[in-house]
Amino acid sequence: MSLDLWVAILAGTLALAAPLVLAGIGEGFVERAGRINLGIEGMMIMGALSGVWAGSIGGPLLGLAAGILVGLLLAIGMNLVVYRLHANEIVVGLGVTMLGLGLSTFLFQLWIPSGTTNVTVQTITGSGNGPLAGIPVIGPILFGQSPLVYLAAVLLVAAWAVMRFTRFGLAVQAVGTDPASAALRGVRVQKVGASALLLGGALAGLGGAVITVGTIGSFTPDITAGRGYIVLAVVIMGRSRPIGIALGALLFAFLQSFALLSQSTSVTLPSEVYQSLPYLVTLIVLVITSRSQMRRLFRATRAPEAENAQDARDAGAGTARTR
Amino acid sequence: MTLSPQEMDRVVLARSISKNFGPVRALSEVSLTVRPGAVHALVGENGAGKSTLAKVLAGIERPSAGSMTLGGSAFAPRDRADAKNRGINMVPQQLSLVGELSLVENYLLAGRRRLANRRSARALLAATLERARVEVDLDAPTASLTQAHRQLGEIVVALAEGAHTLILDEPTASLGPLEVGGLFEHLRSLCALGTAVVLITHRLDEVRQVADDLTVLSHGQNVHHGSATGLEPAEIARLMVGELAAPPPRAARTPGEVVLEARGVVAGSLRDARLDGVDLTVRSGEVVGIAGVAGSGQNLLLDVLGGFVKPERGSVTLAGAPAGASAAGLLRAGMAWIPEERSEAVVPTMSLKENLGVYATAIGAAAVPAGAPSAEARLRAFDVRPAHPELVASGLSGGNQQKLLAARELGGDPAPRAVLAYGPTQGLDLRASQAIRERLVELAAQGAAVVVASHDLDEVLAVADRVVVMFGGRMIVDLPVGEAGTERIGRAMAGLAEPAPAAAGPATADPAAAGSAPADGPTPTQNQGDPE
Repeated sequence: MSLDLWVAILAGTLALAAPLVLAGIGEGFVERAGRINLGIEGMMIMGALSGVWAGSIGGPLLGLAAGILVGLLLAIGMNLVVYRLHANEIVVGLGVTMLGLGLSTFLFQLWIPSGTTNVTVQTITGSGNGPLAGIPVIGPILFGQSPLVYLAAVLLVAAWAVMRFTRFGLAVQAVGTDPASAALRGVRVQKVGASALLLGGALAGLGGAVITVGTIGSFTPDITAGRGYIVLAVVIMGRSRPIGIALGALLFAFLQSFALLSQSTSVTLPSEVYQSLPYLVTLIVLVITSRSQMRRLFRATRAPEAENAQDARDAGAGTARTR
Repeated sequence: MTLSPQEMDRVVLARSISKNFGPVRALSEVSLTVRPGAVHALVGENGAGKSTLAKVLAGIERPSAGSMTLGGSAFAPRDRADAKNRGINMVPQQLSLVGELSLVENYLLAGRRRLANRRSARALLAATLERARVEVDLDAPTASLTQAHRQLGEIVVALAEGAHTLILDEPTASLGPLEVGGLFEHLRSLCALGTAVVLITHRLDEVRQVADDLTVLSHGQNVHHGSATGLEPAEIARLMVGELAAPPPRAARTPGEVVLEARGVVAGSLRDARLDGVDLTVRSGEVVGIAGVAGSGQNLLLDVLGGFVKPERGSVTLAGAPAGASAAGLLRAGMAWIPEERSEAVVPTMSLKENLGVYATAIGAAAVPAGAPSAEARLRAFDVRPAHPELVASGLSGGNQQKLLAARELGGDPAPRAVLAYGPTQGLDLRASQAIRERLVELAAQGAAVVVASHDLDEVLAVADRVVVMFGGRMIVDLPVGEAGTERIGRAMAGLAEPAPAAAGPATADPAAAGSAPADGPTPTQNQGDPE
């Protein structure tokens, strides 16, 4: 395979990773707050549809805003049903996903009946002609990207900063690990969880809109193709940390980009193999990281307990243990 | 109590506070004055209303009637945060530090600023630590701190939040004696800085140690309010529970055949000292007390006796159970077990009745045999409050959960053949403790072999016929209680007493060898004659 192809694959990786990173940042907050949003796929596809629709009316920026708004509305509904009316969050999440997949197809067909030409909107494309984009290899990969890719990177850093440097970030961690103590400390558990979920919904909607408005320019049913689930996998792989989410998203996006572009090379495999490759590898990585996480979790919960008990005893005894 | 003008502007006055929970009257017309710069002890039996009163002061519960003032102006906190803003903070019994976050982050968590400035928060906490002369790691996740440090950390965070009145709900319940001493020093130095401390406790000797003022609650009513100086623990106890019957004289019991026996047990665990060849024989009708500072191996020994830990070498036999029986096998053969952590034995999500019947369910006994006492009767027999069989166990206070556990283990029918109990009266008030101890002795009188371990030496001495002291995984003293003075046992617990015999293994626990230290009076002889 030629160098040009590799450049194209890597440039495609960043472009494909952007929606995953955006939705992943949001889901990272949700999961660190001890909740899970299985409706992410539905929120993304609704965001994708509304992005194209609003984009066709008022341009791509309005499309992105519409994506955010629709994701936010779905998350508000989910928060209401799950945390106010106490429905099961797994079932409701899956329901939101199914609703999103079905409703987006239905609305799309109302908007553009079959037989008519699909609407294409202007996409937010990379400038491509900055001075740095001229650098061979690195230029097109790093500096020729769509502004949305840079937006994803900026939000990644912002998410890290929010987690580390704001009270909200601390509250999210507290609520996720120890809601009882957090409540005793005066944190409003429900409110923090709801904020995280709304943030997750808004970013999932944005991620969906980025798929359509950012790169493709049009909507087709099932355009998200399971990316919502991939986001969940990426967040779990990355342990809800921004850097982990970024790495997970890049891995999946690379495989996807590789599968798309290497089909045109001399390596001839059935295209289905290429298409399933990203999911297969994600599955394997997920199993590997989960195992190491389980081990870490086990150590974290068991070992300190034992040590604490021991420490307390040592202190109480005032003597060093002989063994 | 007379108050100086300086004290007046921060004094917390509660007048005729009442609190009802449904039909239950938890507090009835209780008045209280908390002076700045003083430790105010709040004592009473389980369920006397101490925690409720504390929660009212801290804004967690609202009083049904009565009023409070703070420094002369009305004080009616809407919630805990409101009370906190006025400078009254409570350190609850169940600590409220988030385990994954450090103390600095826990402090920031409840702050008012949106941005978390770690550096300034750290500086503030460090300064507070220094003032209070405490050393706690500010940057480690609090889950990795010791219980005592978490307790101190919680206090330090409260102080840094600007508390001038601190309410501590049983801070010493899970601390060892040295840690308690350290905590009290810190409290005293805080008082010297003008902080008021309300200390809820069960341990009456602590009142004498540290308290300036004392409020005694009994059944939701204030039965004493005033200075703590000059009050002996016995007098306080009388105030709390009325006249307490003296423990019945120890009836002489002749030990019968061997019921429970451990031979040459070698076992290891992460949580406790490694057992290094322990022999223990418990006869029918005998109460053996195991003393030792925490971590000396007594916990592991009880686990081995109960069949929860398989010894690497040696054997445990219970009369009537097959050799090497599992914990379930021992249970069927009549072993009762009260662990140190009651959470290991009480299922919080099950009802009281289900908790009482949990073994029958596990074994598969279909129905309660006819004529067996009802769940309610069993609960009443152990004074579990409320004795409501359908109540979920997590709804009980800690002390009442302990009583529930005792009701299941000690109040079953048929009576247990052997009892293993670690700190069976922890968290219980005097009357309930005495009832449990009497029950243990009664079981022994009916022929059970009873083993009681505790860090509380008084508890061991109160029930045991024979006292065994463990140190570093070995049994270093085995004496009849008559010869086991507090001082002698105390020295042995510190590992000071008899020098360990040169040969390790079974000889370690040989009573003759262990008891024959030259410095320690006459050689005990009562166990030498026992056929092994």
